[in-house]
Amino acid sequence: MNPEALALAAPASLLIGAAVSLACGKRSGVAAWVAILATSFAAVLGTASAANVLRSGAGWSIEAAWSLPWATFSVGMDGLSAYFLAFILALAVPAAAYGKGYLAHEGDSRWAGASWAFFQILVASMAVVVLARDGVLFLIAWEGMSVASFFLVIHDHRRPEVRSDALVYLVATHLGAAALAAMFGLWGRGAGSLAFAALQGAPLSRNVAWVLFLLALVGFGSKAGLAPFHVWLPKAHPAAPSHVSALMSGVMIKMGIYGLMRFILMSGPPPAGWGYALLGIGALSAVGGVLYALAQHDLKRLLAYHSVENVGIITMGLGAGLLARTAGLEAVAMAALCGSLLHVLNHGLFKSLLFYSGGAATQAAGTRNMERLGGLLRRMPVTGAAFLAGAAAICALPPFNGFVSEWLIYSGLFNGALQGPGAVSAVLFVTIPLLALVGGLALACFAKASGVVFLGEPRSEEAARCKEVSPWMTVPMVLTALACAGVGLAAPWALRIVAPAARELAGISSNAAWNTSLGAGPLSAVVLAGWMLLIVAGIMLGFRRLLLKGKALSEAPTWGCGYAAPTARMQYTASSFAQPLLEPLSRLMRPSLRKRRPKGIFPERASFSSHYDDPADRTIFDPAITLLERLAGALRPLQQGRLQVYLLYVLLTLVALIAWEVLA
Amino acid sequence: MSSWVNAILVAVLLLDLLLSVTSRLSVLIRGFAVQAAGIAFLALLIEGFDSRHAWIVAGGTLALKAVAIPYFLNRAVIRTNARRELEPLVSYGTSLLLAALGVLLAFALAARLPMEARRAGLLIAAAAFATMITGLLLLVTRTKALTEVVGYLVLENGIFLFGLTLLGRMPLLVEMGILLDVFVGAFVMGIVVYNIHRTFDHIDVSALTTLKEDEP
Amino acid sequence: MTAHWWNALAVLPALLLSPLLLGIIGKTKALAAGRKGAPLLQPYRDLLRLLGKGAVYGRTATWVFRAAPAISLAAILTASLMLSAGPLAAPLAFSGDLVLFAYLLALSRFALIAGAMDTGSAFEGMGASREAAFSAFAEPAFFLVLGVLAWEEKALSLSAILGGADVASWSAKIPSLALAATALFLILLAENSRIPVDDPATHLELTMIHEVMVLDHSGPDLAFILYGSALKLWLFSAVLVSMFMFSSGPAWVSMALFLGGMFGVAVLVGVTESVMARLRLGRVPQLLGLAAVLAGLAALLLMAGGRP
Repeated sequence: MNPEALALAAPASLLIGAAVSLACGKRSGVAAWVAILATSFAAVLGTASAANVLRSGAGWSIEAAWSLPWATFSVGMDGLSAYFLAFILALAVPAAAYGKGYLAHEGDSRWAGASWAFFQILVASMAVVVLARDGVLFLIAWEGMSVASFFLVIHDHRRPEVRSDALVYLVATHLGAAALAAMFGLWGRGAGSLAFAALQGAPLSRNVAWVLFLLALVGFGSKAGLAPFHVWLPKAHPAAPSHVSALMSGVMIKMGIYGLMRFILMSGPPPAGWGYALLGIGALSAVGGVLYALAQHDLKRLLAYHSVENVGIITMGLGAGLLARTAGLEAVAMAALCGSLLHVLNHGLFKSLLFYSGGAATQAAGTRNMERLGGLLRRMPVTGAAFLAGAAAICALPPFNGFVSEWLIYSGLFNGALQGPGAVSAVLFVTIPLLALVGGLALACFAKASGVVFLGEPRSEEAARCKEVSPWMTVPMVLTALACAGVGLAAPWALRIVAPAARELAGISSNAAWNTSLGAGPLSAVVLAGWMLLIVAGIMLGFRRLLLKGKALSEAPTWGCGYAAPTARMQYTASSFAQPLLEPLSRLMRPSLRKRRPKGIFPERASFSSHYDDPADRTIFDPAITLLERLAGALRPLQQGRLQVYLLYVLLTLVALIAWEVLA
Repeated sequence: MSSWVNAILVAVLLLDLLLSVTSRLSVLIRGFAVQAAGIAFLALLIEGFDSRHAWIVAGGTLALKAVAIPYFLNRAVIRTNARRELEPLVSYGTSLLLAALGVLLAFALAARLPMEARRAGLLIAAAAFATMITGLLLLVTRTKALTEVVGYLVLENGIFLFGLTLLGRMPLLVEMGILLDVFVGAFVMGIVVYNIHRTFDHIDVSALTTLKEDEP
Repeated sequence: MTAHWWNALAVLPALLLSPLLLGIIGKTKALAAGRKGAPLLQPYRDLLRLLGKGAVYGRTATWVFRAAPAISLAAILTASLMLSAGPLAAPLAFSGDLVLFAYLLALSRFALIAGAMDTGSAFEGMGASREAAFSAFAEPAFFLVLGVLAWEEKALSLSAILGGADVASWSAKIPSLALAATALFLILLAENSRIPVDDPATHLELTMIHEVMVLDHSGPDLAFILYGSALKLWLFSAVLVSMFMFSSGPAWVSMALFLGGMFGVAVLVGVTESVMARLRLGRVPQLLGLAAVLAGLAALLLMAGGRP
């Protein structure tokens, strides 16, 4: 089959799968099988089609008439689309398999079958988003993605907090979509068509280009979860079932990144201001995301805030790449853009891994509150090891994949700072310590998460009773963990997948300049160092075994500094672990602390609780919502609740339209 | 010679940071005095040792700002028994951050100066701005009257340093006038501080608002 | 970037002499306090004794606790491949290896923290939390220092940015170099748990940072940890000393200068420990903030120096 047909067959097979899943009715176990098969089939088709484009370097596009107004059915594939298509479909497969295991305990229900249908619709619409070459088609797919994910988030709809969190998500995603509709409208008015080919050729004045950019930043940024448009993210991701959280956090928010990149490709050579804006908003998201992640007690919410952080890192790479491009530093731009693109894949991998293993732990224990977990590694060995691997990967520790992409971004920043002209150089230089700070804080945060949840002793009965989950869940974990290590240890190969897209974004036709100075050589040295690390670690572990051979090994209670009756609740908690980091920043983060201090010689009760409100909620969204409520309150008299009044509105509208038509 | 100038300017910048974070009044005064002495020496280095103008300015600065004023201030410290600034309006960590941002701002500003004013180098203009900003920072964020005085003096150090970038263009008379103003100002404030202390038992200027007449 | 087998020799001084640094620090402190002190080679004896012992494990501990010391040491050993020792060029050098260096040290820290959390002890959790926090605050300062050095030499590999000082450009660079070196020294004290940040000699668990993290380790595991921290101290000192190393001159002179510098740093750390008290924990982030500010100032001076 030709690549065009292959690419279109992928979403089509998913949609067929969705219909079949829905038709299964109450037999949701069958629906899950359908979803797994359809996703795998789509993944084979889609990656084959993407591989064709990535290997040959030749993109394609087809156009067909469409009955919708102002629309043509245009789809196409270039390096960027191919990369994202393969990424989406490849990560959907383990999510589907994990989901089958995750939902197994719920038993068969009609709702679960519908949920599998929405899962496939979500994957299909993401695939269409990256293939679309027409504004209308793009927005329809975008909307399908939002609605399908909303229904997935609201899976546990019997719990009121899930309903309210899902509603926040629905509103936030539509605010973003509104910005995108405005962007396409404004752009299309000038171009005379909404086809991407027409938009791409449309001349833009400086101011219009900036307005379009800001609309794109709001629209795509709110999907990606860039601060301050991220408020829905830490609410929606924890509320969803874990395979959906993994898919949303690992894959769906990257559609925002894809949108930004597509926008930049279509709007012609970007001005330097866009690079600065992206760098700034990326740094804000990265630092803010990791700080608020540190403050969380809810494991899945912590992971959700880390998505804000990582999207920030990706955006920083994108901004640095664009800045380097405007300064004419092709090799530097390639390094930063490759890093940014590769981090999309890497974050997809390790965030999926973390949601799989974290989700398994929270499901087994029945609580997401880290202060009630602990010691799960002993009870769930595979899950625990998978979470530790994911933690090392997200902290960008060698030899895992996170390090490779962050190394590329660092390389872009450092080289840009050394070679760039005045302002570019200074700004990139300032970004370096910020990224380092994010790295240090992320390490602290995952030391906390993995330490408190998986190591030590269980802090509650529920945690003590946990059992390892089914192979449906552990196998996807092991596979993604291996993929994390694999990308880290075979980075030059992974780089080949992102290089075409990076070239398109950098506006260059070959990576010759890059390969000689910054690319292949140093990166293979990084990989070499990763292998060396493994070898040295192996030698040290073997040496240790040799030393301990035949020696007396004994077990004893953990040293409690002379205290005779330790209990598991005396372990360091998640809040206390984060305290030394958050305390110096308390002015910035404004925690609300509730303390009841112990009183007297034999205190009976004492308590302490801390809660960190998101500043974007506090300073932007809460006032905005209050304002909106007040405005909406003014419209309340319109809602009379009587049928005649509503019919009157219809009549008045009709009269007004006729009058307008007659008079105009 | 230029490396000496640079070394002194770096020392001036470091002293700015020190002044903005120290809580001890004696360190504050000594830091200011060292800074003034450094700047006086800088005047000689830049204008050349054979310039009479430079000798007068440097000598005057040294005598007044590095010796006389610190002496009076130290006496005030001893008499008012106020050894530490305990209640700054922002914490010392924040002060350090603000001062560091001030230095950054100073460099950015200096880089934008016309070439004419940068003949003596970017660093000297940057150090001048940074010193002025530090002086203002001290004035804004501290509550003790003595710290306020030092704030004024540091501000003046910055102005003097900036005068040096104009290399001998500033008439001697103007410089001497400024010096005299500063001396009298410091002297008067020293007396005021002493008297405030005698009357109110402390020298916290934020308490001066209570002197405002209450609305009936 | 050509690697020869004899480049591997560059790690030998680090491997063999790093425990000596601890001995020198201890001796300096003892002499300053008017005591005779332990012999210089005492750290070697401690290590050998521990290597020959069996081990006791907490009942809570899993494989994480057992593997952590070996992994931590492996990460530091790999990092040591990237530093040259005086005239001996580093075995592993490529553009951007400074980032790898920093992240390998982060890996070693992560392993130790995970091991500490695995014991389930409140004290070790406390130490782990402080270690994580202070290292996170030290990270930006360290990268600023690396950035300053990279800017100075217009290169991105540790081998290229260190040890390349020459007399001609010396006077122009010295202010920023001195500032960066001061910042690096502060980071060295914090990262290697030295006074005024941490007191390696204290015996009260509540006040410790690094030492309390490794309370439960014993036998060869403890030896790995002690050796790892000695090696880490060596690495930081080597960066500090190499900042001032000249590239010219005969090999034996530069080797002597390098080793002299290393031992000088150890003496300096010992003197600092003798004359300073420990900072309140809340002041440590401020100290690291100061290091970042100094390094930032060094960067500003460099950038300003390159312009008219």
